[in-house]
Amino acid sequence: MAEITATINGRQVKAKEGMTILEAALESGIDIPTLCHRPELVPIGACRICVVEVEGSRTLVGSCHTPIAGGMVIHTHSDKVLATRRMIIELLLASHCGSCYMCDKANICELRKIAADLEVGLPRFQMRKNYYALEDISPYIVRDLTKCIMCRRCARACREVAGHNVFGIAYRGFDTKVVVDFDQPIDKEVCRDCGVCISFCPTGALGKPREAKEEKRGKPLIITS
Amino acid sequence: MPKKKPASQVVNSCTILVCHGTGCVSGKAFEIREALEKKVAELGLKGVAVDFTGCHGFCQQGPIAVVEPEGIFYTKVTVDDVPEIVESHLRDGKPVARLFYHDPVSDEAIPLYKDVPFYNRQKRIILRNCGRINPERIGDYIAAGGYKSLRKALLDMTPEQVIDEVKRSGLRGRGGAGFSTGQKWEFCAKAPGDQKYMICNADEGDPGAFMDRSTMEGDPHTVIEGMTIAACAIGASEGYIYIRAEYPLAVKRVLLALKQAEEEGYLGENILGSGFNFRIHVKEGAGAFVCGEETALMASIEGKRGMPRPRPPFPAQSGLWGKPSNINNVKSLATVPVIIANGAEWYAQIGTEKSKGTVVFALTGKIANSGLVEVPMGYPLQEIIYGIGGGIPDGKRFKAVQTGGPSGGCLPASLLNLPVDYETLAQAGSIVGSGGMVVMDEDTCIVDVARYFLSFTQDESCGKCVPCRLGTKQMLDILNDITHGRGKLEDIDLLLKLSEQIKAGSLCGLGQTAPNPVLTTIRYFRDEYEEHIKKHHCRAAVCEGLVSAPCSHTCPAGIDVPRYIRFIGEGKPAEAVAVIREKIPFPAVCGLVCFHPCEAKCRRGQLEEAIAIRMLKGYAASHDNGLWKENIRAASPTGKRVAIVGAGPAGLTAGYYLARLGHSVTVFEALPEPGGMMRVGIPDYRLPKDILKAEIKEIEDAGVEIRTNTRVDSLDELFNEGYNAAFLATGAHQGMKIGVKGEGSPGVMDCAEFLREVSLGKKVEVGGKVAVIGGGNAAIDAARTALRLGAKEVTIVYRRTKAEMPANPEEVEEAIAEGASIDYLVAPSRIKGHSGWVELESLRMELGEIDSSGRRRPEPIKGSEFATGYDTIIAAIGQRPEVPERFNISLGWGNIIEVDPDTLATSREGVYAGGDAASGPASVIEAIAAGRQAAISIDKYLGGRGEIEETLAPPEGEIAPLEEAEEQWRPKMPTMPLKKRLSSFGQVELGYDDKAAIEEAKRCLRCDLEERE
Repeated sequence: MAEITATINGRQVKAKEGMTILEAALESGIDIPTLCHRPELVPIGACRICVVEVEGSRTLVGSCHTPIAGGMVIHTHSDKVLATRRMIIELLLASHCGSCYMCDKANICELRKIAADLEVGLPRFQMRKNYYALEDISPYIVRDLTKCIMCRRCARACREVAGHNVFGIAYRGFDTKVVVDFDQPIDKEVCRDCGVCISFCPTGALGKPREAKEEKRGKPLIITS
Repeated sequence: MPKKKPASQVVNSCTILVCHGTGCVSGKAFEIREALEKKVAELGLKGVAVDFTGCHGFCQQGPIAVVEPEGIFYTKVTVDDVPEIVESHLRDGKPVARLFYHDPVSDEAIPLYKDVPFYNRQKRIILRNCGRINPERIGDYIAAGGYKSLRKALLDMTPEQVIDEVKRSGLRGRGGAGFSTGQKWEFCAKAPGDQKYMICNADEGDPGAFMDRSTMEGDPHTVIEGMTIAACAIGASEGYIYIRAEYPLAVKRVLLALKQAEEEGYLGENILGSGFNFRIHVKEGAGAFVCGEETALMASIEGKRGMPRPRPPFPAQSGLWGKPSNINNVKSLATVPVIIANGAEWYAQIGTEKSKGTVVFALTGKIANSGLVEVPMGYPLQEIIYGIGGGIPDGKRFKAVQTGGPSGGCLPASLLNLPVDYETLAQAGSIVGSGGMVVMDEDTCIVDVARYFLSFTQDESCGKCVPCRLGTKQMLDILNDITHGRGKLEDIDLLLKLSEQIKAGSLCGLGQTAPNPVLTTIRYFRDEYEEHIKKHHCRAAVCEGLVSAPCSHTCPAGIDVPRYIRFIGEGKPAEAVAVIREKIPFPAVCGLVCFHPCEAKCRRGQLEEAIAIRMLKGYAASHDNGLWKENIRAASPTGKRVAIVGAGPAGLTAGYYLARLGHSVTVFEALPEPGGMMRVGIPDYRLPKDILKAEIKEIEDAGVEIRTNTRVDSLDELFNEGYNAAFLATGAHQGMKIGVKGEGSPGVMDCAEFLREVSLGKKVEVGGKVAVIGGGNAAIDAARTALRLGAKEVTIVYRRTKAEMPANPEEVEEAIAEGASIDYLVAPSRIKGHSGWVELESLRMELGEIDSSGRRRPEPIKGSEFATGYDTIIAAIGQRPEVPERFNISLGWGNIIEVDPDTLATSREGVYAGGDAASGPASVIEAIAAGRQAAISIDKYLGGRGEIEETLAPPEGEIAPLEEAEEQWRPKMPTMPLKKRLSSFGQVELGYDDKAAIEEAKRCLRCDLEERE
């Protein structure tokens, strides 16, 4: 493959034709945050956290899906880029479920990590949330859509990695969500125990059921002296 | 469709063509055609044919019928009109005049299609056949020159030549983005691949836009021809037309046209013997706005959820099913056959340097003529709105025009001179888009418009990318807060930041343009946003969360109009006065002279006629029995002294409320009598002196001391005398100069001075022939006063037209009834004084471009000078305040006192100013409102809480919203007979009697009682 030269953050970098900006940047040791993107999956450019500035382009471009071209002048951490990334995180946090202290996955949450990296605190926006009932009828998977950030990694991993097609997208605007069938709670009929989606979920929206939960729900705690 | 020979083979003496576009069909056009056919058959008329066409684009006037070859244009035809049309016109040759188009601008009936200004200023290329041919007969299209271009492109040109022709024509995508169509074709043609697709984007989703639908309904073959030419150029063998399923008629006609084209050999295998194969499928879309985006549209054709995907790869490389594809808008494709037929050079000479050809707009909103308008690129916006559109109906003022639908922006009056093309509109923050154009007048709230468009994009966002899904939601919520009075000033900046980042960060065009309506409205109408946030005021009286009843919301003093009108309706005028007195101390004055902005916003006005609010107030005030005094609270003296300079409506109102709060108030008045402009500006025939005197007496009774004949020149002296605060309400009494040579000549008077002298009883002689220069209320007052002083001939000279005249139309009517005449579009150029008379040299004017006030600027016509002799010339150009230098306060433009708009504080501590002196010449009610604000601010300054709100009226009984409103007009106001008027200064309006007032009050819709969210 032909080699091309582009400029990233004022530095000449070499890349192979067909590489995305993200891949070229990573290879040159430049870190760009990503949320909806995973190297194993086909990029869809949904979260926009990986946007970068390409000189001459009208808008910011998603680095995970835009092929790098010879002579491109790219800024991955300009003020404009950082402001947009921060706004995206703020928007996600403002619509994300409550407190991290209550979340099992808080310490492995990608959203929380990027928020910390970008120094995003409390969002400037009002909290706008969609609360969904916890889907815990399946023995294999627990789904809490209130924590979902619509990166669609689950849906893509299910199709592209596991070779199934359990998830779909429904509704529009703020109410858009990842659905199973005609918006049914996920159960063992449609989804078995491969667990691929769970490993792809960046937040606590997908998880494995825990024994402890069952116990607590079934038997009220009795205190004996 | 009844079996008939093609139109070209039948020799008929006349054909009546009924419009069968969706608009006219919903107006029963099918039934009208059937009735016509039946009636024609019944009468056995020979040589009369009944046929139909597609949309004419003037849907507001539908159902439309045209009689050819005469070209008689019938509008708003109903089935009941059919017998008359057939008998009178088709049989007897006498056209039915009552169905002619009635021009809203010139007020004339226009019988012929070609004379209708809506049409004859347009240049129709895309819509060339719409309304002219039968869209369900391919023969009609061929007879109109159709499919010749296809033949030429297939047989005489190579694909490269076709692409080159389209490239050189400068055609740019009419879907909104404006990318070069020829280049787009070239990309796709050059892309490697054996299977390519040609797609027509007919997913028209902008609210109010319907040009694509009309094109497909009125001329489906042109789209097919354009598509086939494009397919041949790029090498596609299959095509899709993506039409939204909400367009059943368009789908039906396109399917029929496809069948006919295939039968005639214009589609299918080996087209016209060229060896080229092309098939077109119709895909009905489910109505998602985002499917107008090309990648989402292709996903939808593939049967997936319509969501955009990142580009590159562009559709030209990898489109539908991963194959090279080309997508063009309906209008772009409809243009292609014309370009091939007439050549690139012909097309390139239409339009501007960068934007070639014509553009179609769906002109709607507050406009006299709404419909489809096709004009060359670069056509001025104001010509579309005022020339073709006929301007704003009902005498309302233009506010903004929204172009490009939810992705476009709102442009203010000051930009109406802009030429319409891609670059210019983009620079102004808007876009040409797919061609929506919504005109808004003063009754449209700009924040509400932005909120509406955001709610549309949020609903239509596919939810894929974060900025669009969540960002527009936050923007919408902020706008909702602002329109409900919960906004904060920081919200405007947050909106701007969000907008900028949503535009930069979104994945597709929907998100990248969604903030445009918000950005442009903030850019051009920021003051309205601030008004909503700071004052909870919506000047259009639209926002439900802020406005209870539009009348009281619009009243500067906030009088609770619906409540007092209910009291009047119950026969309790004294209680009504108490309600009015809760806000103003001048009920009777306002009942006679208020310019009643409330009535302009009255919801009843949208039914038939606004409630006569002012006249009802006058009625109540004349039946006052002092009931309001019962609930007055007494305040203990504060020991603070306030000096008020000027005893006009602002000064006296402030004095009244300050005295009621326990302050000791002295009002200084330079003239011998108090009342300000109410006393010396408004003539007696409108406001009798004793009525004013009685209301001022009530103010004096409240403890206000008025010192007349006392001019204040220095504020320091006032403070030295021990006053703790001062309110400057000195008004605007100094007349402005005309600015022409010779205006100092004897015989030339200043209007303010003239009215003042007459009011104060001085003897003023005007002679027999008088000219009044100006178009405001003062000019009208001067004219009517001059008539009462014995002038035989009074001419008002105004440099603009009736539509721009600021004077109250009722007053203008009265003046004309009393014998004054008005010379519009005339401006004085010079005055020459002679002994005993003056000569006025004037120029005729014509209206030119729009100025910053949103009105068309009058420009002199060269060589139109003319001179007229008068005994007196009265200059009513305007007034400005006279502020003594020793006041030591800062003044603004036009000599007005600079104040904080919220508190009315001036640059000096303890000194406040309001009324005309701080606003420039305005109205009595605005001065009263300023007086109220001054009282609040001064009381707070003196240590009080600034509470002047009070309840004076007794509680209302059980009340309910008005159930049903039957059409009923306001009773006529009895006036003094014309003959008697000119001999005295007696009051012209005689007032409603009990019966008329109660009847009128009962028309009130009681908007304040309506339930809201």
